[in-house]
Amino acid sequence: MHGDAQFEDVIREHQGFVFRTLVRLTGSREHVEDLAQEVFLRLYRGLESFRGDAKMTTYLYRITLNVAQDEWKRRKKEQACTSFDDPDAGWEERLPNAGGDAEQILSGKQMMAGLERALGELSEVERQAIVMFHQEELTYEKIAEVLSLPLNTVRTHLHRGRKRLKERLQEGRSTCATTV
Amino acid sequence: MRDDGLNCEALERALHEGRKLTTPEFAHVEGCDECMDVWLTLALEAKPEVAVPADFAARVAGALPAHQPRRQRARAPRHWGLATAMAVVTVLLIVCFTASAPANNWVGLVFLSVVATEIAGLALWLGPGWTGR
Repeated sequence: MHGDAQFEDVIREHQGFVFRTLVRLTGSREHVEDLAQEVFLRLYRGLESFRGDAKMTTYLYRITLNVAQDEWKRRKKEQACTSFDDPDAGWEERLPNAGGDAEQILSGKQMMAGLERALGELSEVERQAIVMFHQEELTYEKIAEVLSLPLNTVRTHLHRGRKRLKERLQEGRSTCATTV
Repeated sequence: MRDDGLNCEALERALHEGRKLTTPEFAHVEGCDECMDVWLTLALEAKPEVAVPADFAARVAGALPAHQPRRQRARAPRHWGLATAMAVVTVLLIVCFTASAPANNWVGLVFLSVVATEIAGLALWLGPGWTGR
């Protein structure tokens, strides 16, 4: 990798993934641009050691997860839970059924907010595996490589994470003391 | 499957088609295992619509630190290694030229000279004075 122009192309190619993953893993759009910039700066500093594109993307995924994790921890200290009334959370745009009448929107919003809260209650590694698998459509093998875990452990985290999400959504246990 | 008059298959189809669900349909999804599975998968697969600023890549590229040349590996001077190697070479040469048989025949001389040369070469190559890499 030589030259800033080439690195600019790398940013363009991967910025979508970085922004989306940061938004989903932190549960907020606040400071997402700063966080994304931090991701690419860290990647740039580590570029010297890469020869192949495959290794670079793995490294980029790892950095993104680490930056999201740091931000998640920082926010967790600030507030116990994110409200779905939070304008920065941006749930509305992510609804599969966005639009419709007020009641429909509210129902969809509540379910999506419940999902976000339930995601936040999962362990770090379960959340990361779920987002990489479902949202970014990475293979089990790639997730295992990014998380430095055995393949079967990734499968277990995904299965367990999904199961816990479902339980929380169905039992309505993903309530937050500071919201609603 | 829940007994609320709603058909799971129709609801799952509606979810896949992206049709807006009514409030009773949402209530059904929350309580139905199969429909919840479908909804959950679709909700997790829905990529957040994040607007990346058009000039983001250019701005980040512009803010990069000046390109630094690859750092020279910090290597401790190998004075001790060099001294030891030279000592071994010296001992071998002394043995080679002064010792009695069987080392003092032409086969022994050639063998010891080759070994001594190799050790001397290694010492110079790995030593602090070498700058050829």
